Amino acid sequence: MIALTDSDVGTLAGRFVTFREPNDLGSSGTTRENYRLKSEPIRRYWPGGSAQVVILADENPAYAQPMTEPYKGPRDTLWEQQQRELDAFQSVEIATLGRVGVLQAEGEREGVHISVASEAALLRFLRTNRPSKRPYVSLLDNGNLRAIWRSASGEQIGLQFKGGPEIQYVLFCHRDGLKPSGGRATAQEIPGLIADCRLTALMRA
Amino acid sequence: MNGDAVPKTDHILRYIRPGYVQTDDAGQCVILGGFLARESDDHKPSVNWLEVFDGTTEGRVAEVRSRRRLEYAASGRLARANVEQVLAILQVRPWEDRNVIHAPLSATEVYPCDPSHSVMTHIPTEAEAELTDDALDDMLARCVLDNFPARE
Repeated sequence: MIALTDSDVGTLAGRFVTFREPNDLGSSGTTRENYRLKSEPIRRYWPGGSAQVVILADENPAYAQPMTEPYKGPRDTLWEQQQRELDAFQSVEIATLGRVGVLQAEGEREGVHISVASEAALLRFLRTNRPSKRPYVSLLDNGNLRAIWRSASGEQIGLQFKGGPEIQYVLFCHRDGLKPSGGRATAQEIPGLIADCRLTALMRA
Repeated sequence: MNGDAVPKTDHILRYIRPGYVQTDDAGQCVILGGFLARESDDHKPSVNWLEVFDGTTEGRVAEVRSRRRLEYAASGRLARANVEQVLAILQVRPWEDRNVIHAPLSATEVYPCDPSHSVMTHIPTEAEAELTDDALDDMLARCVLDNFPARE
């Protein structure tokens, strides 16, 4: 058992420890959860701060019980969630770029060339809104790309990226009995329109 | 007969270019559109009336493939839809006089006859649809019952 200070944390990073109240040293005090230390201040693990007592569980057979998951504080949870979202978005972006590559090759065979401005607008929209579900992407005769998210129940978001500030949208939502509503809006307005139709979930995995 | 409406109970097949076909996560080909007229179609995009041929659906699709006059891309698809469902969308605005009309093609030196050839009438191009009929292509894509490889 040692009294852990912030300066110890670096040397113990990666070790499993069990926190206890200071006055429970050696007694049957209130053992808390096992954590795997990271190079973070003690306060991250234990609200009391720097003078808490810990037991190195991996050095004491009495505490050689299965360890719980590494410590996850609110910041870790948030970070992991953001990381998951980022990973999912990156998969979407990679898949979309791959699809655009396929469409480019298919289009050239048919004499339809992808509009560079449309492609840039599509990628800008994805990077701004970070969907975690990849859209279907079609290539229109005018060279514009169109992103489509569909649900099994018939809801749909369809966005034609015209290259300029406007996006042509077609939304099918249950609110309107799956009748389409369409028009043109700016990239900044589109997320609000999608949310109004309660279709945001279509873009999430 | 040439010029007659294709019976509502029957089915049409539409060649879908690769730009409107994408494979989903389950490996199924999804039709995203591709029903509107191209500039060269004179607002009458081609379809094939399947029941002109006898046999199974697959056999009828094979007949359509064998009589094609377009070059079908390897990753293109043939989308099958019921005429009544297609008309329910095309004829929402009756004054536009849209229909699915039988227009068989005679044999030429190069091509065999195609008794299944038909057209959808008064169909806008993508550019025209964008102005007045935003969702027509989406609506028609939703009629697709199933789809088949454009090439065997």
